[in-house]
Amino acid sequence: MQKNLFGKQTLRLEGIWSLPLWRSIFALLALLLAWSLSAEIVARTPLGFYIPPPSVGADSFEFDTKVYYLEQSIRQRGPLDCLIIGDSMTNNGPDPRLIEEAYRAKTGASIHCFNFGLPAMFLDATGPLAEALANRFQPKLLIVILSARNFEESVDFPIRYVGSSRWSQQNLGNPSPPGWAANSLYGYRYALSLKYWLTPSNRESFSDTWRMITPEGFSPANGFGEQRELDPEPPEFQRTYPPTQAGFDQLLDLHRQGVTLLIVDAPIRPDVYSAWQASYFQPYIEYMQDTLTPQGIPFWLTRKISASIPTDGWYDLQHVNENGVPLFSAWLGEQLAEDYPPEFFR
Amino acid sequence: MNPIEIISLDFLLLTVVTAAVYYILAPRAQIFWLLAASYFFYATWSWIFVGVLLAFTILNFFLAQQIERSKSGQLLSMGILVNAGSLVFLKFLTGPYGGNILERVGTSTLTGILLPIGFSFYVLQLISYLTDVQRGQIEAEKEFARFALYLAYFPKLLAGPIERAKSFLPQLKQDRVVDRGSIEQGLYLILLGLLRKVVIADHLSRLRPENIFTEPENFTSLERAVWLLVFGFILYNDFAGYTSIVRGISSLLGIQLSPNFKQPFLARSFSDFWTRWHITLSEWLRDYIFYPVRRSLMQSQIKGWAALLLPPMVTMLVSGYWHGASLALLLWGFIHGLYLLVEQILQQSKWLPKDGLKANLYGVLVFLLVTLAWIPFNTPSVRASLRYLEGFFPPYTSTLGQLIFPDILLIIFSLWLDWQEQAHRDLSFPRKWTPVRQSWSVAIAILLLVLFSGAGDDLSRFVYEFF
Repeated sequence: MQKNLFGKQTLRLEGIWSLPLWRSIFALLALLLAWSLSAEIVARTPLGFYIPPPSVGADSFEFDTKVYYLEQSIRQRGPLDCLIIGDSMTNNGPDPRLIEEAYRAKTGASIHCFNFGLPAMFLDATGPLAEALANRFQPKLLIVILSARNFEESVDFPIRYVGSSRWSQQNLGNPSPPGWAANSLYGYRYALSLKYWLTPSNRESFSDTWRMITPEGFSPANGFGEQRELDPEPPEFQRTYPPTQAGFDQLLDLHRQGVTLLIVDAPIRPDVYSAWQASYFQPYIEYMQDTLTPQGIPFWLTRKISASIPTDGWYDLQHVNENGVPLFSAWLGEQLAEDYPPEFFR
Repeated sequence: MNPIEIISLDFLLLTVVTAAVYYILAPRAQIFWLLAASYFFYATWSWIFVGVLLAFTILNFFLAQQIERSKSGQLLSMGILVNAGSLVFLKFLTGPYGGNILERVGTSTLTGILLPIGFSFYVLQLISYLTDVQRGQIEAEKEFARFALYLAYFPKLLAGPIERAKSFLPQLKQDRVVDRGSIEQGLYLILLGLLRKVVIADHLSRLRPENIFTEPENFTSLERAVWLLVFGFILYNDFAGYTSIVRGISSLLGIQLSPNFKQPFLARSFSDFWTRWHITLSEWLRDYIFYPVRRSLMQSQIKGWAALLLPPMVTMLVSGYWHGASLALLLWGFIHGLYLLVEQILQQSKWLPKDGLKANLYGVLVFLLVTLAWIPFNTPSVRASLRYLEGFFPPYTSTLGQLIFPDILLIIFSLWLDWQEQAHRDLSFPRKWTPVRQSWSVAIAILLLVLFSGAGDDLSRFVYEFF
């Protein structure tokens, strides 16, 4: 019975080892090595600024670019003094170069700042991302620029999931092989960039994004945007979306873990502030002050500096443009000089 | 259970397990094992499909034996009527007109399951099998398992190649050998097929504007022209990639499947094109439509234009209908019939260049006209085809979407693969290279596949599965 069921005549392996199998594996390893070495060399030199940056696979090329530029910045200028994080108001707001200039003018000392603002990032992503960035880059001061809208339900853009990316998880203490590779191997990251570009829907953001970001992470919004007119119906400040509240709590935990945290109220066009003050901004500021003051976390208000920004310094209701950026950045640099003297950053 | 696609980890697992067990079984047991694996594979698509396949297998198995015994033309006609009739009827029901009728009677949800996947392919095999038995060209298969495997063999079940019984069944009767040669051939065919499908076809498909063939008026003249050209390469690499993969898998099981493509875009004439494009279908149409029509015309003493016109026209119209019961696809068949007819007239008048520059220019013209015929192949209706065609007349508009130079390189890569196939006269041509060249090429191919796989929407299905 067994004789009929089984046979040994089908597979004949004579000569099979003469197939160039091992040689192919060797060639594959050699190619990977060459790719990895080239990637490490390019990424660690200024050459890296001339080609699309390596990706960490978080599905947001803005995020990828900022991670890489921050790495480059630390490589070229040493440890990070202040890391600024927030949404588009941060992304287009403070220019680290101008902050550093203002700080130097006031104290004579140099500091090293980086803008990690990401458009459409609400607190649900800001919380985990701030922790991952603090763990990875160890800034001496973490500046979070917030506004009332950061507590609202986040928009379903890729940036919402940036905190759950493999890279972020790796730096939050949940390691995985892809997370490790995204954190450690430029060859892998450039391959991810190539893969990102191969996805047609990413092409536009791929080519546009990285060129608009300065090596300090700042992304200027020039001219005037579409939304210049005020909505007649003022919004209400809400904290009803649990994920953004959890993100805020995660920021407070960071402070408890020893990260020096500074929270700055995002600048708002004065007429917007006045119109929405009662239902939107005032309850937000009260909540922030009630929460942060007992924990010793400074909360800087920006009403005065917002009032000093001329009308043509606003890109739209809540974003400053090239005329507003120098004023806001200089103010931030001067405030830092007052409250965080050079000794703090040493 | 989800349907197992050819390009999926599930299919890889199915193939590995099937092959591993297959290698240790005796030849006769291998048939039953492959049959079980094939039916399992088909059952992941639908149990209804399995039922239909089994019913057609049983019916034709016994019918063929009756035909062999009686040599009856009537029985053959009955067999053809049942098989072809089912195909014609189901194609009609699942086409735009039948779909409308079903919708009107409120059973439109049935359309998805009416035409089993692979049906169009195995029905043609059945028709050729019965015909060959009746003609005495082959013997009717006496062992049911072998016959069932001929139809259900999993590598070719979804979209061919359309195998003839006279080349496939003898391989099931003899002891099969899987040696260094077949493993080498199989692995290279799989690798080349994956390159064609994943790197070329899928990438270009993702770039193609989704509605360019349904709403051509929203696209510029240049976009229409470029995407029409690119579509030919998408379709070719998708289907040639599929065929290469399944032929490679079959080679690893010691069973040779027929090639379906031989560098079609390098064809020097329309008749040459049809010996290079979807070869197993073209040969089937030639042997079971073209020749019989021509023979019957000759027998009935019909001469002149009708004798010249009807065989290619009927053949290509049948081909159009086989692809789908829509006027647009019939128009596609008609256009190709017309091409063949005009070429035949040119040939008879000795106007057709045989070699030199003129022959090359004629080859380019053939390519362009074949490309032009993709319009009705792709558009949902004749009206949409005409709307697409309008873009080729003034006023011309010339912006182009997101196709950029690196994407164009993929078309050059496709042509390079063709050139290599032709130069080495081997569809698994890398085995003709030096070992060093082979090693580096395999390494680069693997890197390309890793990079291109999963970049964007899931396109693991093949275009011809839908026919």
